[in-house]
Amino acid sequence: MTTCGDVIVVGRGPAGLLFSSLVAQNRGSVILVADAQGSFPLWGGQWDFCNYTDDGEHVLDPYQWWQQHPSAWDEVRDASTWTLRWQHLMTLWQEIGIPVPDRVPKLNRWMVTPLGQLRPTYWVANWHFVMERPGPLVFVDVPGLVDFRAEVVARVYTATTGQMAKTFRLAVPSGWRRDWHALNWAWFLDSKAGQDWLGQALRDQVRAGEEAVVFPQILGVDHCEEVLEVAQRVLGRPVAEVPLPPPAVGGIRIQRRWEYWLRRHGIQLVSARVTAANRHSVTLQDGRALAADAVVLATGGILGGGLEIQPSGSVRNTVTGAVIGTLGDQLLGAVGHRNWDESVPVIGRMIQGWNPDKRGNGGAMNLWTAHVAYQAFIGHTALAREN
Amino acid sequence: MWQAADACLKCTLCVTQCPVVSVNPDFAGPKALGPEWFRRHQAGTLETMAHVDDCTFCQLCEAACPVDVPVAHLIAAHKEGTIRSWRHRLRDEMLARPHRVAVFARFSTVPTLVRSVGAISQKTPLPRRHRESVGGLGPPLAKSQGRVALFRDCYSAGYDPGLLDMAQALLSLWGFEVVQLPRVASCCGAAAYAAGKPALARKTAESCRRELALGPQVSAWVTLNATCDGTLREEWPRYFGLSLDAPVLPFDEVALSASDEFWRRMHLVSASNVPLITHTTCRGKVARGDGHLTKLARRAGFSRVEPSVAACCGAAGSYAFKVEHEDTAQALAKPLALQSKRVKPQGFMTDSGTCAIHIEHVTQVQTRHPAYWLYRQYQRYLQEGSGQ
Repeated sequence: MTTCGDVIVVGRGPAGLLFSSLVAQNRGSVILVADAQGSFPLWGGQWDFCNYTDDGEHVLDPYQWWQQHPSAWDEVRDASTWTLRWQHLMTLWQEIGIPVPDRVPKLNRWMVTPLGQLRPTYWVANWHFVMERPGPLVFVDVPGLVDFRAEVVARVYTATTGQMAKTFRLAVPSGWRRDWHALNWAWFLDSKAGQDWLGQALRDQVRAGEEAVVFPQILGVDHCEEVLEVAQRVLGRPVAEVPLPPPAVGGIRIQRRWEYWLRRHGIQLVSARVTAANRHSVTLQDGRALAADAVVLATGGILGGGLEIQPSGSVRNTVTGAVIGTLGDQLLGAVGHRNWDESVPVIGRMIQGWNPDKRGNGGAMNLWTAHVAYQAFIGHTALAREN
Repeated sequence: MWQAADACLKCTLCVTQCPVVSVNPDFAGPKALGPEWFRRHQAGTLETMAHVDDCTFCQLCEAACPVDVPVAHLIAAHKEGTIRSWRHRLRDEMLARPHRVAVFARFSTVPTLVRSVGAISQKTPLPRRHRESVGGLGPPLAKSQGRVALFRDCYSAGYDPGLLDMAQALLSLWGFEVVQLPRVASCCGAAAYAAGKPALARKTAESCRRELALGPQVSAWVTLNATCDGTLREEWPRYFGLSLDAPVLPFDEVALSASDEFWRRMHLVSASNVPLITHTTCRGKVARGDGHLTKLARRAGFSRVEPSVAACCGAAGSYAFKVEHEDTAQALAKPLALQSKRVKPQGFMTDSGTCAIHIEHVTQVQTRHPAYWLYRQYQRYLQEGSGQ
């Protein structure tokens, strides 16, 4: 096993956690610096591979798309490399305790949006509803949840797919309030009382049938497997969830488990704003400097649009417009850039042709850029040792 | 008010990280009680919302915010307008001055009647004074590192003076000349701010700053309590315009920079293969981050170390002592109780005295500061034969 040196990772979203995990798995030490919470609680946690063609058509076979796409650079066309990287994510998530299947899919699957439409996705946790082809479904209406109206979802789903869609409405527990959002439901269902109540509420809804039952994503945070087990046992059929807009319960589940796994593996989470970075150190807003063998910027923000790093090297917060720091005289490294010595690698961002907005390839962008940067990092570390 | 007070994007990241809202269905959450209340307040609506006092002021909401909204401080401002009963007002005035309360530390029990009248929880144990004799640890292991001040926080000064002496002994061992400051009972102002009394917090902090100025010149201020650490380093300049003339450093970070010889000796100690759970307090997470205590414990030779699963244990300074918060405090600590049953640790390591009381109460496991665990471990090294 390769032993790598210290690394500072800036950013606490999916790319930052994945890169940190790669280093931690290989006995390296990581300082993960972040000024705010990463983006996990803002999305459902699905990792998309490649969802759309140039014309906006759905992509069913992302491996084939990458192989055939004329503008893809050589390494990205290699299906076996992709398979290995997805398999790594699979085993990593299994180790972390995020439930996933035992093999990576060959094709994109279909997920249902909160509006009942279909869209492709690739890698999801087991709690996330996906299907290989549309079939009849039952959607659960949860009182007070404005982001998911089961009647509307069912109508749109049927109109889009031609498949039957039934609905039933969940009762409300004592203590329920109209302002409950998905997280309130999830916290309630995390409790023993919540699970007992759910079992009873679903018993009243048991009907003959084999269709999967699709809930909005409310089935617990830390104890979601137990909640799902209750629902599946009572209903006697598969149960899964549709992710909702923020606060997104699926993303929160992944964030909490992943960050805890990293802390168990000894990474240090430093709560601070980075105002300047170069290849071997970062300066924090309070004046402290942290040094390491390498620095990696994983400051993409949602779909890579968080911090904007300008050609001059200044780093701008795209939300507030404030310039918050500088990369000094270092060049910004395009991901996959082999010349580690001259650049600060950047991962999980919309650079070098990655465009999650247009192509639906955000998960692949995180996966690919984190692995390429990691390979470059261990190559650099080995070279430094030889010298 | 503050620069980013009106910058809320309604992204809800603060809500997702708030420990209280996940266990207390009456609590409206940081977004509603902070930035959304502030916007209404600016528009002239002066009503306060129910249960705003249930905020622990852990500040995890602020740490999560991508646009720097001072969420917890807006909630503290919101708390100012709450109308309370005379009993609660009297109690809150008292607990907002913990350095005054700590003067009575030698009285180990508070009668039930006083608790009842004073709206003090009957379920949550109150602090008791630790009585430990502390000796030196031998000559320094490193050349002189200069003079540092060990911040004599009100809790340690009143209830755990031995901890201050243990920290001083360790710092001396690492080559520092140590002076404990302030010399008289004083408070950084954190308790008053958490109680929704920003003006009192400022006054208390200014008084503390004056006391600290009476001490000698130092190269750093070393803190034992994570809340004091964040308050001195970040809140003093940001909210009170106060500053210290040297960096403020948490004890655990200073410890991590101790010499290799110290760590070599710690690893010679037998029976170190004991389970230990590290709990970085919520304010510690905000002020400095997480993982430092785990790293420290492992470096000290505790080989079965696990980080705590709780974001906040529920103690939150004097929060758990208040009768109306006891259920929330218990619910927040429940994950720690479950983790403790699973891991069966020999101890918990945490960077706050009040968190230690609370964790010890819910887990029935000894819970102490990193300085205590390091001191004990080094003492074992000395006892087991330091000639190795």
